[in-house]
Amino acid sequence: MRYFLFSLLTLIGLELYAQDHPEYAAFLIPDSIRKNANDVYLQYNKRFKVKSLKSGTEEVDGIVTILNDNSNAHYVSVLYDSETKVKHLEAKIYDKLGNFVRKIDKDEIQDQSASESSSLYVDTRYRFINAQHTNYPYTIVYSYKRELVGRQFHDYPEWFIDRINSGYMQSSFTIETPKKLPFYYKMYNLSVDPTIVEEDDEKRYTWEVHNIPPVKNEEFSGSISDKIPLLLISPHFFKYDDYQGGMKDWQQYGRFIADLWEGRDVLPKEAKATVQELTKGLATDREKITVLYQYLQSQMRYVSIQLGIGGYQPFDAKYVWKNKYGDCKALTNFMKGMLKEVGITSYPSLIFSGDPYFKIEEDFVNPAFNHVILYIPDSETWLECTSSSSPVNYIGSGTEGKKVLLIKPEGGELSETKEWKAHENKKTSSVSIILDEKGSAIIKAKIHASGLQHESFRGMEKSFSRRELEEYFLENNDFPSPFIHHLTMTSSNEAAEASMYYHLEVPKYASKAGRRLFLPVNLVNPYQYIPPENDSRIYPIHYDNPKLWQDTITIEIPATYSVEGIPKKKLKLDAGFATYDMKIEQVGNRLRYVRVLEMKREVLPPEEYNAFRDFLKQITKTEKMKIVLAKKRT
Amino acid sequence: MKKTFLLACLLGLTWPLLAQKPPMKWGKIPSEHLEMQVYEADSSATAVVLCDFGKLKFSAPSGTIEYLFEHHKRIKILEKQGIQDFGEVTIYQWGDDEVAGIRAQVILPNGDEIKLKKKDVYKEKVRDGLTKFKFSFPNLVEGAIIEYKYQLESTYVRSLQPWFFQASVPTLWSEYRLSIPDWYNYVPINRGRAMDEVITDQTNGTMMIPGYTEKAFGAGSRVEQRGFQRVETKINKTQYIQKDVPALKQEPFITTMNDYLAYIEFQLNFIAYPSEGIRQILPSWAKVAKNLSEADYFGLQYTKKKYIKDILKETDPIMKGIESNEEKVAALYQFVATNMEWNGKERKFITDDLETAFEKKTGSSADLNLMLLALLKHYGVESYPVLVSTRDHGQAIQLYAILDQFDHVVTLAKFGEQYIAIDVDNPNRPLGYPRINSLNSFGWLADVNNPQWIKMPSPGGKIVSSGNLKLDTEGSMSGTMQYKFEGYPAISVISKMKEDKKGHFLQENLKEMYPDMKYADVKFEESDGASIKAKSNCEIPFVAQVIDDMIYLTPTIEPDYEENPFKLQERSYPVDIPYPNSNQIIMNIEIPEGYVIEELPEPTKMSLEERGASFKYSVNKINDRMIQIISKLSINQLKFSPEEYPMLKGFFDLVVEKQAEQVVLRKKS
Repeated sequence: MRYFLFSLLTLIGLELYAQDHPEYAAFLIPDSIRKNANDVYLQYNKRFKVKSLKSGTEEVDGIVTILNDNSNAHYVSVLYDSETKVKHLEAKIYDKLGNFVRKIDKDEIQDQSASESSSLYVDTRYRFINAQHTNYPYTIVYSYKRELVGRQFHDYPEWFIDRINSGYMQSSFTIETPKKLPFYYKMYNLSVDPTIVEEDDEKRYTWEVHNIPPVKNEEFSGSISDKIPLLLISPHFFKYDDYQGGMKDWQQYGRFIADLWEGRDVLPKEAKATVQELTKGLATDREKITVLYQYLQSQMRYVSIQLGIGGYQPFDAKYVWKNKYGDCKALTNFMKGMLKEVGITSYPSLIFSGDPYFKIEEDFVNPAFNHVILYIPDSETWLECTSSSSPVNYIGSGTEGKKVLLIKPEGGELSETKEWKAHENKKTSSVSIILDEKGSAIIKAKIHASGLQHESFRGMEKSFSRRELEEYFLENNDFPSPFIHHLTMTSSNEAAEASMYYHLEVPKYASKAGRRLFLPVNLVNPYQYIPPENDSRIYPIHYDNPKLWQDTITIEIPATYSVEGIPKKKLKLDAGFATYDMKIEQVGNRLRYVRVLEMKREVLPPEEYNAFRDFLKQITKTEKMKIVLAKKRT
Repeated sequence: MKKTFLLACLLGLTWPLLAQKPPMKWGKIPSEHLEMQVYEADSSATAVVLCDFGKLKFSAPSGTIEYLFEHHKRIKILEKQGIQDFGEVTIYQWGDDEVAGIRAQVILPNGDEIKLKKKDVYKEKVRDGLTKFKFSFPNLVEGAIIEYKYQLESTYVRSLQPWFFQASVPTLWSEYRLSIPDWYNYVPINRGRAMDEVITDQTNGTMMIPGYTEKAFGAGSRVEQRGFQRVETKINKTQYIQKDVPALKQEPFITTMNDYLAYIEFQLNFIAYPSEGIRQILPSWAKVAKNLSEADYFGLQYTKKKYIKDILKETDPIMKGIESNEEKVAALYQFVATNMEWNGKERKFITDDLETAFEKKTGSSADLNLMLLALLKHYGVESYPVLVSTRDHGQAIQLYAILDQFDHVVTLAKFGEQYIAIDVDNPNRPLGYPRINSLNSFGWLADVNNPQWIKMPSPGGKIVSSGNLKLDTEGSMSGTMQYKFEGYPAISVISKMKEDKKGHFLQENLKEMYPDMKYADVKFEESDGASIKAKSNCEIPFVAQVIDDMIYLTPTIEPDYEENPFKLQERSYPVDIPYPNSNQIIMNIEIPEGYVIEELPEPTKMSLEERGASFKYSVNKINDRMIQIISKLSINQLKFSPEEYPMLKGFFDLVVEKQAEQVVLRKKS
């Protein structure tokens, strides 16, 4: 008996280390979850415990199998700042069969600032572990705990149920809160009910999912918010520093922001005097807004400093006046103060600039905003206070067509910025090309851009010196080795418009073959993009670059040459959301090419992807065409 | 005083009196600078460095010798862009250095001064051994002048604070003044634009130095430091001045801007205290090699068995029975590459003992390459460590044995008849092909018996594309394509192939030109890690234009360059190409029945001086139905001077032009 037990024990002892976990073996992950995944979470559990109106704790534990080097999941990182603290962070590594490799030492835990290069100073930092191993796949088991206060607490944590190229075998989220501190919740792109448990004075909600394949990234698939399943939770009430707020509705949350901003827009005496002087004699609001906005743009610059509640509360007007700088909040607040001085009311408007990860709706409050702009209700004017060159009321890429939260004295109100339409985003080129016998061309072009199309022109005009402009043009144009005789840019102070004019000499414009010349038609503004093939498209197609391009190009060919062949003399296409109309006519030794391409914002069903791709393919090919000229036989 | 003047005369000074006053005084701005609206010599300048002044002197306040560096800089903002570029200042504090006394202010065109408040200077710990101080100038407008100053104390006297005379905007006056006690002898190393003036002087001074006494110890004696003594010394003063320095801007195809900006640094050569003889600090290269061989962060790691004891347990079974040198190198290289993961850091000394690194399975470039070296030596392969300065880091300085110039170490091993350089990072990197960043002309072989500078072997790259294709009457082509990749292109293809076995990536370039093309049955055949062949069937619809009776075709199908990579008219810096490469295209194209060849491109041959680059192109009629295109492009020269740039640009213009030429076919009537 003893012998039997002994051998049994030694058998066990020989075969398994107490720390090995054969259930982590990578081959156990089903293909349905592994496909398109760079990593798969075998387990992910997040627990949030509300302790009071001001603070709470967050605990996360996870087991993630890293499949290849495109995954970043080997970085286990935790955000903290002057108020929120990291209480615990650890990780262990297991190989592809689940055998224990090692535990990350304490001295391998790194610490780094979270400030981006665009900030002067931000007090958020990361504590992180880089749990890398050789030989994919391998598994990391990690856990961390934070005590949340202030910025990281007041809007409550979120639960990302799935991510791009990450699969989940199991994932759960739990919130534990005293009954007297209730909360709201909303789930996006998925519907799962929580289990609710009541224990004494506390309520516990748990959501759990299993076997979620990764979100795939597809070309033109719109915003992340259309694809990523996500759970957001918001407190009924919260305390942040000396301020109180709540998320019952946008009005209430806006009230909290209004409290943070209150009284900070009072200009110092000198500033008031300057405002009065600048607006002396001006009759209309529009004139006053314009002169004050241009003053802000010329005198103040953008510097980002985020410390504590300063992440939400602007530096006051005195600070901006003295330093001549501020971030988006401070500059907007200062502008508001200037307008107030001349009796014009304005509302700071919170907005998400860029691609938001969830859609802002009326029925649920969670403040995912990263930027502030200013709205003047009486004249329906928007001002982007961090731009040193935009005209009044220009809301461009990143902030157009977005929901905003207007901060009125009585509280918040949802509104939205306008969306640019295709015909407002125009690029019109008017070009004359004179070709000589050697294939060399003199090119004169005037390109006028408006709406979203004008942004890059305005940027070039404002930030480049003449030499830099020429270098930029040389690096980014489609002409073969041009010489620049002349290149100028202008932009309008009032409207969203800018122009570029150039006069070039291009010695090798047309390539020669014996008695033939091959003449490219449109090197000025050709449409050249074909998305990749995809026979199993999942998501609808979001076409989001509305524009209207009109190019008129006249080419004078040398008298000793005649046109031998034009690949396509005309082409008219209609894909519903977009139209293409091109024709080439010849009169004597002049060719005239006119092309109009209009592409509107549209959402198309995924089944139409191939047709969508074919359309773009046809346009791209046609834009590249070369006309064949041959020397006249004498 | 008189003595100084005499000395000054002997050395040919022009302004000995000026040498006493600093070139600028805090807050005192000459009116012409306040009023300046534009910098005449370079009207595109968005700002001008009015004066950049550095001062360095020595002291020993607590017994340890240190230097005190003071920096005072003044910049005029001419345009808005200048506010963007210079409005924010970052000062770095490395290691045990101490930065203090940061002061900054803005002087407006009307003369008003706005001072920076202490609390507006933000201190941020980046990581262990690096802290930065950042501040933003308040109240900046065009026409304003910004000035700031700070002090830096450092005990790292082996290498003094270096100085850049040049910036991305013009500099009116840049001056660096050093006062160094005669006992410390430094060698200056400068790069770029020459100095406009160098003024030297010598004065008398005193300093406290550690006192040394001999004390009885056992059978002999030992030297011990006791107290301090005030000693008289001569102070050597040098002023380096550059005036009206032009701006220097970034351009593509260079190693790093730091190789070109006017710059000076100082390395401690020897110390000669009055009580002692000369203590040589900057060693000879031989001495450095000896020190390294005895260091536990370098030489001992690959000579002492204890550091690889555990590793040998795993390699011994693998190495059993392997006889030849090449096989040993290959096997050990595979072993280290498979078992270790490079953490992305390039280092010359180890971070962890080889044993610890092996346990962690991750390490810096030094950990990995020295681990390989240790194993190679253990198994009897002739091998050495080679210290290099990577392309990002800058050119090597062969004249002085300064270890700081190196930031990386590679392993050199005998492989058959040659020596190859090895950089371990992942198992896919073939032997003899170090990371491109490590290819920076020269490296220093740090072997105690034979230290020397060597020219780094520079393997290259070759691509041969050949096709047998048939053209039809609609302008579409079908047939087979074959590729042979060697060297660096092969490394890239092999790693892409592991993720994409169907070889879709091969079509990437072609798909952009011919969106409907199809590759089918792609087959890869790997010869060794540094070469790979690929074969596939291919279909390219509408590659040629058919217009009425004519067919127009670009026969190269996939040109080496669709546009000239050199776009600027002229360059200020050399063009630096990482490795020699050659591209060959051989296409056999069968034209459709019923067509004749009307026009073929003219053949061409061009080469740059001494075959630095060569290009040969011809399209030949094989018979009535077959044409053959042969194109060969080679770049062998790795550095082209700015004077050679127009020729290089012209060379590529020709390549692009020829490869875009068309073949014209006509239908038989």
